[in-house]
Amino acid sequence: MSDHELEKNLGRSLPKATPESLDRRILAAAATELKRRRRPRRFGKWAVAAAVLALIAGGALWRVLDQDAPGIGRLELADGAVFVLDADTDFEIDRALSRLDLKRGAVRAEVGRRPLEVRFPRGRLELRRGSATVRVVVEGDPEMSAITRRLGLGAAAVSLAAFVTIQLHDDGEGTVQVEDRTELVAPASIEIAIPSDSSRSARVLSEDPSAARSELVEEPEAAAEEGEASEVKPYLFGRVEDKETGEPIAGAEVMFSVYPESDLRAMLRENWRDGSSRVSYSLDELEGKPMSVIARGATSDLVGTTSDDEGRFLYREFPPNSTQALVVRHQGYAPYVLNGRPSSIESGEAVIVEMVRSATVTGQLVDSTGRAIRGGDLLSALEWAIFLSDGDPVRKISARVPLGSDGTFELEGTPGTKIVLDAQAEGFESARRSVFLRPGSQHIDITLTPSSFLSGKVRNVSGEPIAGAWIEVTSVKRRLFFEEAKRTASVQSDEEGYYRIGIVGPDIELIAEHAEYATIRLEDPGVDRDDLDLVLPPLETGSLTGLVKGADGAPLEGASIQLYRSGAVQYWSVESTTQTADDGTPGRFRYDALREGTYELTVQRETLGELDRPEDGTVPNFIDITTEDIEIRPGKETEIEIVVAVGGSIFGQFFDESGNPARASVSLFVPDLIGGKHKMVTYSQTDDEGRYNFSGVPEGTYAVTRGFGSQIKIVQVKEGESVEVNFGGRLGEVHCEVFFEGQPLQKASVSVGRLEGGSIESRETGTGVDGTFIAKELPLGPALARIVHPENEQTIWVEVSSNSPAVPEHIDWPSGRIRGRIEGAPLPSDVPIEVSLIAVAGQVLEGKIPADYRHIAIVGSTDGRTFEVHHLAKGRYRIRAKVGERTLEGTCELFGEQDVVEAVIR
Amino acid sequence: MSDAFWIEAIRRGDERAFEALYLEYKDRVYRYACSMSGVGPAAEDLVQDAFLGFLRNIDQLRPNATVLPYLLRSVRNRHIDQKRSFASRGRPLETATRATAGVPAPPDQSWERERHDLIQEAIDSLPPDQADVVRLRLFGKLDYAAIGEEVSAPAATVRSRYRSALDSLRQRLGRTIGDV
Repeated sequence: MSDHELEKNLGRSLPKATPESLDRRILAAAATELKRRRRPRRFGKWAVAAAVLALIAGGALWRVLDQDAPGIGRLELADGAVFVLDADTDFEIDRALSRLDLKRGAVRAEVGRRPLEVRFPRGRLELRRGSATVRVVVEGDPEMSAITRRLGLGAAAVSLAAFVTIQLHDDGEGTVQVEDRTELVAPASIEIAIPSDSSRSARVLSEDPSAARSELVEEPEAAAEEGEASEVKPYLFGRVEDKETGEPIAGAEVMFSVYPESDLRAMLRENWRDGSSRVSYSLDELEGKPMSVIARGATSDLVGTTSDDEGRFLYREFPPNSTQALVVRHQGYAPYVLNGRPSSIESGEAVIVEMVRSATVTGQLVDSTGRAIRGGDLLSALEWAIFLSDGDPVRKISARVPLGSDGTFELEGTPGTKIVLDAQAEGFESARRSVFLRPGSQHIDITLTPSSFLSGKVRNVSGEPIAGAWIEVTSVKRRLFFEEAKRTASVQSDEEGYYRIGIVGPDIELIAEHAEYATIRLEDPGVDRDDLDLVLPPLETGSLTGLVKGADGAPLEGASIQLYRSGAVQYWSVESTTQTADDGTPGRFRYDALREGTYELTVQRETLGELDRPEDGTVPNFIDITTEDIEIRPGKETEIEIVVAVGGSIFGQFFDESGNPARASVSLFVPDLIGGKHKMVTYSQTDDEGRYNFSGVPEGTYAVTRGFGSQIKIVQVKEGESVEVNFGGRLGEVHCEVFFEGQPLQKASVSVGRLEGGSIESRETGTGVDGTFIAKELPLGPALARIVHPENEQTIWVEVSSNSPAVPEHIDWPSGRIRGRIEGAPLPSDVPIEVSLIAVAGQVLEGKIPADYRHIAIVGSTDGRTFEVHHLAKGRYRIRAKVGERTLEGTCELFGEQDVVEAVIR
Repeated sequence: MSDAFWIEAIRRGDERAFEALYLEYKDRVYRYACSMSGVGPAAEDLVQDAFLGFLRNIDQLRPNATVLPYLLRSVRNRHIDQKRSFASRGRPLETATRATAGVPAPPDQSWERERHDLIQEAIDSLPPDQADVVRLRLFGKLDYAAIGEEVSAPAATVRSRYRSALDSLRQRLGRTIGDV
C-alpha cells in the first residue's frame, strides 16, 4: 500500500463531519457568548437578590483617589463597617487590565464589628468604573485552606467573597453591597475584578478628573504581582436557596462532573484488554461526598460537597478547565443543572442556586389488560431548565429511568418542563408518552401492545446452522403521492443460528446476509411466525473490470476508485486505484470475488489537499464521476468503461508584503454575486513555497479567496485550461491628478485595476476638488485606471509605486479628436443617428486589455453626414453608426493625444 | 493573516463571523478530537470546549494568531489534562457499561467502530512524538511547518517523523485495513 493509499484509509476511519447536534449546540452557546459581547456587562441576578446595604461608597473611594496628599482614606459602610486605606496607599489607573489591586500599604477592613487586617501585596491599583466584584484571598494560602480549617467550612471567605460587591456607576457615584452576615477572621487580600469592557471604561475615565491619575508611572514589580495573583487555584462557591421563598437549603448535594466520559471508556477498555476481570468501582471511593450518577452522567462521575446550614457551599479542587456540569440536588426539589464550566470559577463570583420544588410522576408499564410488564426499559428525555441569568444554553438530556420489578417508576422534574418517555419491552411495540410536569404529583401508566415478530433458524443448504448472519426487515409505507416512509430493523443469528426480529411495519421485505453465503431476500414473509427458517445458498461471486479514460480517450492511471454495494445490510465499500493491468493495458481496475448485487462506483481525484499531490507534482485533472447500477452476476465478469470529463485548474502562489512566498489558506467558492451566499467548493493550504493548485474544477466562474475571503479574486475556468491566480506581493498606491481642458476634473469616479493571470483586482475611488485621486493596496507595476465623469470616460495606464510620490502624477485629459463622415447609405432626415466609438487594441493597450476593460462610449449623434468626437486618447477605434436596421462601421487610429483624424464609415 | 479579520469581527460579537469560522474548521477539529478520544460524546465535548474556549479567550489572542493550530492545541491540551487528572485518581469506573446495556449498537456502526479502534490503537502504539505528528497532519490537516510550530521541531524533522510513522502504520495495519 502506498503512502497515499494508507493516508486515505486512515483518513476515512473517522467521520467526515461533526454531528449536526454538536453544531447546533456550539452555535447556540456561541450566540449567547457573542450576544454578551455586543452588550455591556451587567451584574448577575444574585447581587441584587442578596440582602445588601447600599451605600455611596464608590464616591468615597473616588474621594480618596482625589486627595493629592497621602493620607488615610476611609471608606465608610453602614452598619459600622469601615475600609481603611493606609497612608502609603497610592493608586494607578490602568485601562488595559481588568483587575483592581492596591499599590503599597494596606487596607484594613472592619466588617460586622469583627476586625480584619486585609493586607495588600505590593502591586498596582487599576481602577475603572463599571461593575466590580470583590473576592478575598487569604494571605499565604491562595486556596483559603487557613480559613476553611478555622471555620470548618470556609464560610468566612465565601461570605465575603460572595456577598461584597462594589459597583461604580457611570456618573461617578458608586455603591458597595455587603451582606450582613459577612465575617472575616484571617489576614487576606482583596481582589476586585472588573469585567473587561475596556472601551466603555476608557471612555468614562477620560471624562473624569480623577483620570489624570493614569499618568502615574507603572512600577516594575507590578508584573510579578500580577503573575502571583493568577496562580490562585480555581474554586467554586455559592449558596443554595429556594427559588420562591429565598430560604437557604441545607444539605443539598452540590456535584460537579469532572471526568469526561471518554476517559472512563478508555479505562474500561484497557482493563478488559489486560485480561483483568471486571473491575468494580464505587463512586463512594471518590474524593468528596458520595454522589449518585444522574442524567448524562450515566458514564461520567460526579464529585462534590453538600451545602451547610445556611445553604452555603465551597468546592476548591477543580482541575483546571475540566468541569463539565454543575448539578445540585435535594429531596423535593428539581435537580438544578448548569452545563459547562461555571464562569464564576474564574471570575470569583458566587453561584446562587435557586432550586424549584419538584414535580413527581409515578407510573407503571402495563399491557393492554392492565397487567404489569416486567423487564422493560424506560428512557426519559427532557430539557433541563437553567436558572442562572447568564443565559447558558438549555440542553437536552436523556436518562434511563430505573424500573421496579413490577414495571413501576418514579420521576422527579422541574415543573413546567416536558418529559418524553420512551418505553420498550421484549415482545412489545415500543411506546412514547410525553408528560408536562405540574407541581405536585401525577400518575401515568404506559400501555404497551404486543409486537409482531418473525423467528426461526438460519441454515446452509446442508442444514447446518449459520451463526452471525444478519437479518434485516424493511417496511416501506407509501404515503400520499410519492413519499415513502422506510423503517428497518436488524438482528444477528445466535450460535445455533436462531434469530428473532420485531416487525417494524406493514409490507415488509426480509434480507438475510452472511459474509460466506449468498444473500437471500423474501418479499412479504408474513408475520408472527416462529418457523421461518432461512436457507442461505453457497456464495457465488462475479468480478468487475473496468477502464477509466480521459475525455481524449487516453487511459487514466492513478485515479482513485471507490466501489459501494447498494442495499447491503451492512455498509460495504472497497477502494483501489487505476493502474496498468498484467497484460500491459493502462488505466484499468479489477475486483474479483464480488458477491451478486448492484454496485455503485465513483472515480475521484484525491481530496486531501496538499497530501494528495504525488511526488512528481502532477495532479490528475478531471471531474469526479459516479456510475450507478452496476450489476454483478455470479460467475460472470462485468466490464465497464468510464470516461471522465476534463476539468480546469486554478493554481497560483501567495506572497507576503516583502514579495517573499508566504504560506496561506486558500478557498474556492462558487460566487453568488447577487445573494451573497457563496458556496464553498473546496479548501486547501499552500505548500511551503506558497503554492496551491485546485484541479478537476468544472467549467464556470469561481471566487478564489485567501482564507475565508480576506482577499477575493474572480476567475473564469474553462475545460482543460489552467488559470493562474496569485495573491499578495508588494503593495503600493497610485496618486494622480486629472485635468480636463486645463481645469481639475472633479467628482469623477475612478477604478484602478490590476490584471493578474486571468483575474482582476480593482480598487474604487474618485477625484476630489483638486482633481486628485489615490488608489491604495495594489500590487506594484502598471495598472489600468478607468476614469468616468458625466461627459466622457477614459482608460489610461498608471504606475503603482511603493512610495506614494509627494507630487501626484499629472494626467491631462486627452484631446484627440475624430472627424467623421458617413457615406453610402441613404440617411433618414428626421431621425438622429447614433454613433458609438469602441476603443480596440490601441498602441498602448494592445494585447493587454481584457474584455471587461473595453471602453464603450456613445459619443454623439449627427443630424447630417458628419460628426465629431472630442477628448480621445491615442489608440485605435472602431466607429459604428446605426442607421435604421443597418449598421455601418469604420476604423481609425489616433497616434498622439492631440491628434485630429478624419474617418469615413460606410 | 487571513484569520485576523475573523477574530476582529468575532471580538465585536459578530455571530456570522463565528459561524463562518466554525464551519471552516469544525470538521478538522472534530476529526482530530475523534482521533484522540474516539468517536462519541467525549470528542464532541473536546470540540465544544475548544471553540467556546477560543471564544472566551479571544481577547487574549495574539493579533496574528492562526485559529486552526490554536483549536487543535486546545483539544490536545484538554485531552492530556483529562488523561492526567484521571490517571492521578487511578481508579476505573464500572459505570460506563450502564449507558449502553440493553441497547444493542446499530450494526452499521460496529464495523466502522472496529476499524476506527484498530487504527486508533495503531496510532496510540507509535512513539508519542510520531503519534502527535500523524494526528495533526492527517486529521488536523496542518502542514509540516505548522506542525513544527506545535511540536517545537523543524519542518524537515516533522516530515521524517511522519514518514517513519506511516511506515510503522503500514506494517501494523496494512493487511487489516487494506482489504475489506
